Amino acid sequence: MKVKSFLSKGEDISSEFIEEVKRIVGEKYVSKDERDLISYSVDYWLYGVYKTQFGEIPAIPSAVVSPKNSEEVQKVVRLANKYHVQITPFGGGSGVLGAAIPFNGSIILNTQRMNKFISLDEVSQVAVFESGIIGTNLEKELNYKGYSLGNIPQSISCSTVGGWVSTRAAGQFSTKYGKIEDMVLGLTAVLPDGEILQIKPVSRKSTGPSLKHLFLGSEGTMGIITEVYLSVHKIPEKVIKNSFAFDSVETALDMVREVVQTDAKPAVVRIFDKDETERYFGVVSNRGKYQQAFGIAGKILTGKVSPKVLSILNESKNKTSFEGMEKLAGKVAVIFISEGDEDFVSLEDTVIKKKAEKYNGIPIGEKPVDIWLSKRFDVHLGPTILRNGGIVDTIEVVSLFKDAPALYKDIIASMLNVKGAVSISGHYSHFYPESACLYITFAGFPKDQLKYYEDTWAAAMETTLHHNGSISHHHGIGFLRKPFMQKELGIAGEKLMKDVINAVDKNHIFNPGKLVERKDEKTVK
Amino acid sequence: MKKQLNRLIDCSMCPNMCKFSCPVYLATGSETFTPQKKARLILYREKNLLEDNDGFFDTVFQCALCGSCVVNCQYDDFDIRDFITNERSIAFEKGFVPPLMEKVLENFNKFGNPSGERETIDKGEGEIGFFVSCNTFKDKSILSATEKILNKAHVDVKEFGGGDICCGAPLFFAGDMDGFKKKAEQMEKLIKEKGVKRIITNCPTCIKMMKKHYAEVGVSIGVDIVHTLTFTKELIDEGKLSLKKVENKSITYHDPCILAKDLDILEIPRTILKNIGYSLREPAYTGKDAHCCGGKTKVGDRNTRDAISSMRENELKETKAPEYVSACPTCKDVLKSLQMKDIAEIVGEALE
Repeated sequence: MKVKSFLSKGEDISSEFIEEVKRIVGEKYVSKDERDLISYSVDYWLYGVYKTQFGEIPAIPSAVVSPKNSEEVQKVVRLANKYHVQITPFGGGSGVLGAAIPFNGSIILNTQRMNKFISLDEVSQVAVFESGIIGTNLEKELNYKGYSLGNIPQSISCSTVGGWVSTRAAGQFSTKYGKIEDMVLGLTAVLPDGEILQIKPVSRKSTGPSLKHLFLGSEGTMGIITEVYLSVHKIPEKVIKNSFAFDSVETALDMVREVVQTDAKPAVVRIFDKDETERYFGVVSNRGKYQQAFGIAGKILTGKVSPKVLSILNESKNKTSFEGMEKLAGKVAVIFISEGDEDFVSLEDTVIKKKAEKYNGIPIGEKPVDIWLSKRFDVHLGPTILRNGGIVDTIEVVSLFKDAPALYKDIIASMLNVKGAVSISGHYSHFYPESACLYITFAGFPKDQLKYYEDTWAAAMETTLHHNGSISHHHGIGFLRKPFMQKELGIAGEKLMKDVINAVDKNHIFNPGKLVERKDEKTVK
Repeated sequence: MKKQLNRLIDCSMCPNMCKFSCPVYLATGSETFTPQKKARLILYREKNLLEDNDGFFDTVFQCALCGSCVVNCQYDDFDIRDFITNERSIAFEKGFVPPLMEKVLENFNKFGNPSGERETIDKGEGEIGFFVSCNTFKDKSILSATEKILNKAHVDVKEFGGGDICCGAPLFFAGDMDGFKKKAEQMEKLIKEKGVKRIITNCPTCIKMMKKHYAEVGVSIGVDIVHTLTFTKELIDEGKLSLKKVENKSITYHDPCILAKDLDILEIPRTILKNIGYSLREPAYTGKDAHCCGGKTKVGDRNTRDAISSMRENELKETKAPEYVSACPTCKDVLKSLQMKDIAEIVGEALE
């Protein structure tokens, strides 16, 4: 192939294996074609995506296999054991940590033919889907029948439910409806030895350690998920939107903490730091002007970034004005969406307004919520930055409330300190009574893209660990965060996780190079 | 063009935010056939990085050209179908013809149309030209229903079609741009000879070809062209048609992709059906979200095309409606297992 891989190459796997797999799934669903090897070479790991524009891809799989059901997956896995062929499962390919990159010349097991809505039990409010269905279609199918799952990640249009389970994903409405682990009641998975495991769908049970949780976040190392049983809810009858302006991230965190420590469960809660408030809502403030003069524009003056970069970054700013916009100048915006039963929602609205008043929050009304709703899936700027030689990515971490203000301050500072950094901003979008998830978006226009990328990630991870935080809230580990797993879990924790995975996948068939270092595994750097 | 090439690069690095809507992807489960991966492969072909030309050419024919990706695109100024069409023309120049298109091209060579030998229609006088598209020519019930509507409203039309008269869409789909240009020039000449001031037709594809793609090969028919549906609505609004009401009837309307996504005609068919008294049973995927029927020759691979058709049939069946209707003769033909009607037939039946 003229297209080159820079992390891992495909290998010649036995032709007997390929022929036998063809007999299982059908000839057209086994491919060693150039077009398929390129198309399954990377997920949405952004440095890898950046490199694709130059004809460089991270890893070439040895083949792509697309089974249509659990039984076919089972037969393929059994054959893989027989021929010692490694398998990288591939869902929607939207993961940002490289969990679906086919290292070690593994084959890709593409789950996207398994994309059906199987059933809905309206009495128990449980829906069953094949694992390869894309989130938007899952929601469309449920909405059509008057229901919703409520897991709405930004990647909903390109991620699968199997991927959500495998990464312990979370969506924008998580503070009310929970994360994927709260929604999954049961599942069907093919284990590394080819056995089909069915975990029955009930809300809870006391039958030993939860097997379901072995698969939530396993990133394809312990099984290939083929069907998922999900708890769904009726489409809410009442929706109330609120937004407020606060003086600082700290004050906003205090206010939101007090809300979520009551019985209130707003579906959406988001705290935007001052940079994101300016960008999202188009606010022009004195602080904005100052920061522009000495921040990004200052970098232009000193030749660190070009006016073109500034113009690219400004493209993402909200262009429409609205009533109350000026009150957000130099402030931290917080938005709430409360939804569900009318009586409960009204009560929640009262609680939110009281807490906002206590912390001198200035009410801004519904408009900022509407702006966020209209822009929440807009990712158009990312590829444009990459095309112009920039690096852009997101990092989500989580800490207790007591550590959150210091973590925010230090993580921004440490990432800004990396040579080439242009814009670092953050928001909080998932809340618990004890903690909050901080979501950082960074963009840099460095001379050495890889060094900038690695140094920025290292700065964010080390700062998070220093403040007792966890290195990932909902994107997962993949291969990118793997070097930080020992510090995250501790030596004993990492060993336990390795022991569990090695015990389940004795022949080391599934997803090489991901999550934790496996036995006899070459580290991919 | 540089701006469009930049957008192609952006598309190739997008998270694939439109893939959920792509009927080829949904029917095949193939990542390779998603719009974003097609963009990457097109980029690589342009950089001369691909070795398997036939594999690449097959990929650009694994597209229904339906525009679902455009509706859901992150970029307002980008239509990947322009690149796909360009690649199809390169494929054609290099002799790549998908098996599904071979017979159609053979018919064009012999008879100047996709269907084979047929009579020419040339009748009536009037300022409005009623262009009988190739698929309407084959479906006499749509043709007679449309004629009935026009007669009832006392609209004088110059009706033409059949023979070797065709908008050239199948050639466009196959990438034969020289052949397409010749058909466009033939149509331009014919319409000028007819001396009409406006064209109506039942086929959304013909409208798109004449409005958009003729201009791309330097041809202009010089008059406006609208769907018979739009024209029928005008006749109803002007009081030239009066319709009998049906009672207690429900129906599912299937949005043809070009009509809904390219021409933005969503409400007119629904308004007409409601005026006749139907209650509408919308499918889960409807309006601009409606999936393509698969078409006849837009997709080069028979298995893929049939899988798309089957998927759409199943989606429509979910409404459990007693009747199904569309506004495209091709959709009607492809989805015939549903006993689908064209909206012209429904209006024809409702005429007082």
